Amino acid sequence: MRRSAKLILIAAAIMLGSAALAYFGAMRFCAHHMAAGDDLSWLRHEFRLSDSEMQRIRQMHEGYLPKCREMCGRIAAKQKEVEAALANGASTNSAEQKLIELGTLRAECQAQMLRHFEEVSRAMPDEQGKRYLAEMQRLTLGFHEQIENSMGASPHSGLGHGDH
Amino acid sequence: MKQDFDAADGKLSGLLKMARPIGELPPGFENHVWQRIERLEQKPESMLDRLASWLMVPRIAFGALAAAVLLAGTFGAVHGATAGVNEARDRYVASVDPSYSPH
Repeated sequence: MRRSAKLILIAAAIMLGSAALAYFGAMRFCAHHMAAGDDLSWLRHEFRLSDSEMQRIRQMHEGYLPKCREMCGRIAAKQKEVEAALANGASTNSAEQKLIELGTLRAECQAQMLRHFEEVSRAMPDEQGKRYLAEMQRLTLGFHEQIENSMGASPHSGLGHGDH
Repeated sequence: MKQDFDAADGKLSGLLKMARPIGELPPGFENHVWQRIERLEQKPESMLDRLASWLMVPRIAFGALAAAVLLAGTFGAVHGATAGVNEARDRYVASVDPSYSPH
């Protein structure tokens, strides 16, 4: 190999190595720095909240969590009842009833969550509150909607519920 | 014609005699001059040779390295910041909606 080519290869290797080191180092540092803090640190950063606004929101959040946990417990218990009804070979009507109850509980959970989002959004400055509410609806309700839409579409694979 | 040259040589010799070197030449000056002359006489360099000769200049080499590191670092920082914000957001959303799955 020619001397020039060797030199360029070595220089390129050094440059690539240093650039990779800089890229991953900076990425890790920034990711760690931005993700640091508790569950609510994102709210402060994203919606530029003051200390007093954060304090109010923290209180709401801490008030909401036990309700959320309780609801999760009820949903998990109902889920077990549905599974038990299906496993015991109980009548279809009984299993259906349990499924309806499970669906109702999930809807209640979502409604409670929405109420919490609205409450939090009111503790924020107007514009930020609207943005927060829209973002939360997109991330939580939109997530389920996305799944339902994908199931409702008529995919080429034949999967999905669109043809039923 | 010859006489002209002789006359010119005579003038030049006179001037050279009058001229006094200011200080001593740096060590290896002659070699350096010959190297430059040889380089100039060489055939035109290829792109590879030119690039290699650029890389041999410390100022250019370090400049290029610094630029690459800075650029890569900036991209990494932007990428990392976005990933960190998304991670923090997902943590918050998961805390209020346990059924939330980021992907």
